[in-house]
Amino acid sequence: MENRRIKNFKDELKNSKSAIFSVFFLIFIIFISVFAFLIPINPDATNTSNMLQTPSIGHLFGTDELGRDYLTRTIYGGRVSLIVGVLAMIISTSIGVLVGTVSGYFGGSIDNILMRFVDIVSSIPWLILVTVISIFLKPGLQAIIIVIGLFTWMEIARLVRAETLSIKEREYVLYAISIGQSSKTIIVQHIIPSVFPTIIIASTTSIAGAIMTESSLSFLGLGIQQPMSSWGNLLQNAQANLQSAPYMAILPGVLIILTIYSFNKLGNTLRVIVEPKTAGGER
Amino acid sequence: MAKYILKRILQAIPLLFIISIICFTFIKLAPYNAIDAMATPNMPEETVNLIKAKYGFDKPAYVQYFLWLKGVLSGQFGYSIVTHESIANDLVARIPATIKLVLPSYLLAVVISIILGLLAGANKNKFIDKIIDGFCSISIAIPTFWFAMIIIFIFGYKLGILPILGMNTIGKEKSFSDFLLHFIMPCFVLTFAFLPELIRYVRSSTIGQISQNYVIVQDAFGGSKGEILFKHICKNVLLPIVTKVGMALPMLVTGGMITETIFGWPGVGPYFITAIKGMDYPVIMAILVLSSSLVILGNLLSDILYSLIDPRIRGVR
Amino acid sequence: MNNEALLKVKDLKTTFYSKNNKIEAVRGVNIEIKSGEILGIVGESGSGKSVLMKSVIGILPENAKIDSGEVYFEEKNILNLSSREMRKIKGKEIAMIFQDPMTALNPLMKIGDHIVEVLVRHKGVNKRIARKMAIEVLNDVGIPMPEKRIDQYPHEFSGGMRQRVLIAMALACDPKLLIADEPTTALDVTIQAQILELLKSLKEKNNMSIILITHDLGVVASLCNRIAVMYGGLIMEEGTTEEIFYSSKHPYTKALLNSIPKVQGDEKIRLEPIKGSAPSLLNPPKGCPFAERCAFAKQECVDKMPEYKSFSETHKSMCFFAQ
Repeated sequence: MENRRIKNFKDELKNSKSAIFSVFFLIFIIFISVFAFLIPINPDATNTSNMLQTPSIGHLFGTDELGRDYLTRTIYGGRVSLIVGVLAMIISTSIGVLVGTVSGYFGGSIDNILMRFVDIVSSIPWLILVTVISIFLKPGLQAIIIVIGLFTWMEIARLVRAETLSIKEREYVLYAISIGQSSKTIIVQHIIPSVFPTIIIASTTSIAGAIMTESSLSFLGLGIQQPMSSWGNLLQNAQANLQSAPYMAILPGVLIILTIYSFNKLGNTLRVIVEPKTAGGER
Repeated sequence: MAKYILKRILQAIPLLFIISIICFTFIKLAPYNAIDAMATPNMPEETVNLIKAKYGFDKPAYVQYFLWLKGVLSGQFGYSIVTHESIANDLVARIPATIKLVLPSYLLAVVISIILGLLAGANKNKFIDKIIDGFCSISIAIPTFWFAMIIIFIFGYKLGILPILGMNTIGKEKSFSDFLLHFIMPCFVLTFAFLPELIRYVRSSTIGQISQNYVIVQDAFGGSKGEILFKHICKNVLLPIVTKVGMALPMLVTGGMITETIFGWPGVGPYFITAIKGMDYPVIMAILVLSSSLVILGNLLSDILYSLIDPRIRGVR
Repeated sequence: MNNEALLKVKDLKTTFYSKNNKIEAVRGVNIEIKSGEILGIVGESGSGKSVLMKSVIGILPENAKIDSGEVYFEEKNILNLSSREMRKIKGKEIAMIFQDPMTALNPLMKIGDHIVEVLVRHKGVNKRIARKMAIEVLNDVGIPMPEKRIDQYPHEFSGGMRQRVLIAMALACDPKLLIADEPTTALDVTIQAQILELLKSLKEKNNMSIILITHDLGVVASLCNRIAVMYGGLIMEEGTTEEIFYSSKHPYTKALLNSIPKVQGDEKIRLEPIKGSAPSLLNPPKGCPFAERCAFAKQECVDKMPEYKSFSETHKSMCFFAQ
């Protein structure tokens, strides 16, 4: 069964150029972010005689308004954006799985209350919610990870709950209940492993969403603060210098687009592993 | 059916209460004081205490809640800490500007997405579907603010044909053509932002309808592909779209925040962002209350619309 | 009266194609119907009877293709027609009614509009006249108070009523041929009888031919002049109703007849189901499709496809050992 799923995934990959591209791009960008420290240029080194230079040999993507090498700043920025994406995803996935499995497994009034709560929190436009909460925290890396993580778990919770509802009727779960296993054990040992494929897919979309949210918030000045760079606040800078140095807008923007696209594409391709019957079906 | 509407309205009311309590709790937790909006640093303490008593700040929390609720329901949102202006007045000035931008953009996006979504869904996995769905995959990954920047650069700076800031040129507030010039770019950006999700929604709805039996029957009676798609399937696809549109009600206030900010459009967006940067809590909370209520009302609206349009619910005899 | 066949199907082969496989649903069917006849096509699920008729009227799904064969309607090969020309025939000259009346109507369209649309399209009349005609035809199929019910929606009708509406839709343009694909399978037995009576009387009135597809021998017995028995994508036996019921010449037909519970007769006789299951059409057997379940099968049945043996002008059977 495992082999069939992996085979399906490989088939699906082979069929789709965009899926192959996505996988390679993600590997590339993660690799670069991890090994960024190998680049000999210091992203924070200002050089006032070199401000706002267009791309040249010494500076492949030019310099920003303080003379810092733009390419290096973008790479370090990418590292920050990816970290935010991954960590926020971990938080939101954890909360989502917890709420979803508990709600789905125990049902009844627990389910009702939790789902009502999810409905209410989902009701509020995320931008508003996120900015409201960020008032209470000092802006920065930690704050933005927590804020994004705390407000994007709802969709995952709904998905996990739906899966849990169907899994808990399965024979091996009923058997486990009948031999007296504790609910915690059942959830951890039986339900979560079955829900795992859904979780994986939801988490790729979650990373994509987190990166988008972080970029928007940092762009508005509410996220990552200078001198730390993220793709979002690099673009905020770019806006200020749009007329004189338009090239500054291009690189981080394109990288955001490609990264989000790739994560989404990866998630869609992974869907094949969950639903082997619909191989080659809807994107 | 009137009963159904009444039932839904009654269900929405407790939800509104809960949201208002949550918002009020946030307000109380915030490290501010509405008094600060009204007092100046030089005021003697007795005056400050008088103001506090006048606005009930010495009373227990639940009394304060009711006072606040009463105020909100009668349009009193308090004052901005930063500008000392009445928030209600500010909103009254800004909401119409936002509506003028968001409403046409959203409607345009809905119309385009119905056409493209129907075409894509009816031709699943064929060339036209791959293009449309490909467009959705990519555009959903494009940050709105970045797209706005590129558009501004090309049309504003490079080509210089469109103004890049604001809703009107000063002195030309009455001119509709001037408004239009300012309107084009933000509308384009906003419509582009709304499109991918809407198209995908219509597309998947269409795919669901195509396999329905009545489609085969229409084919058997000589219906052309176009007729079947645009006369029969379209109706069934429009139904869930209407509900989605109802739920977009809060967008009329907060849907264009990023776009408005970039284009300097005098709507609720920049107002809110400025408030956040300036820690202007009363403004922030006012908008929070407003938008959460609109979300619930939007849900209610879409349920009611659905019950009016779907004959299966409408004529429950 | 012209006794040339109204519909002539010659050696029709239809296959479903998927990424790696193909399923041969119809494997070389020859069948005819004259005007004024009621032909019953009987078979199990998967025998290909529905696909056969869907091929005739041209409403096959995207992944199905007619590989070879001809379909002559009034002496013209309709498989060669463009889709636009074919649309003029669908619903007008040849009409089809379907198995599941609950889902066959657009839930958001008034039932009157369903019929009006067909009339406007095929008869070119304006909406007002079409509406009058629609009321008339609803009356013909036995819908009470048609002037009122014409403005109602499908969910306001019961299953039997919806089927009548579909029949009305099919009859609105006076088709020469009506194809009924399991029209009563989804309905209660009592309603079944009503619908069948309705079809009979309408056929008399309009002088049209009917092809009735069903898996239920009881249904064909009461209604049909001729019967064709299908299995594994091929016609096993064909004959008049009398010939099929009283002197069937094919083991499959005989087995089918034996598996019907009889009202009279010895209570102690066991019902005889046919052992085994239908052949896979992924890799159809090269011999007789019924061979692996047939009590009389010999080796040559498995190796070679049998030829048709005629027993009368109307009666033929595809079996080496029929007599």
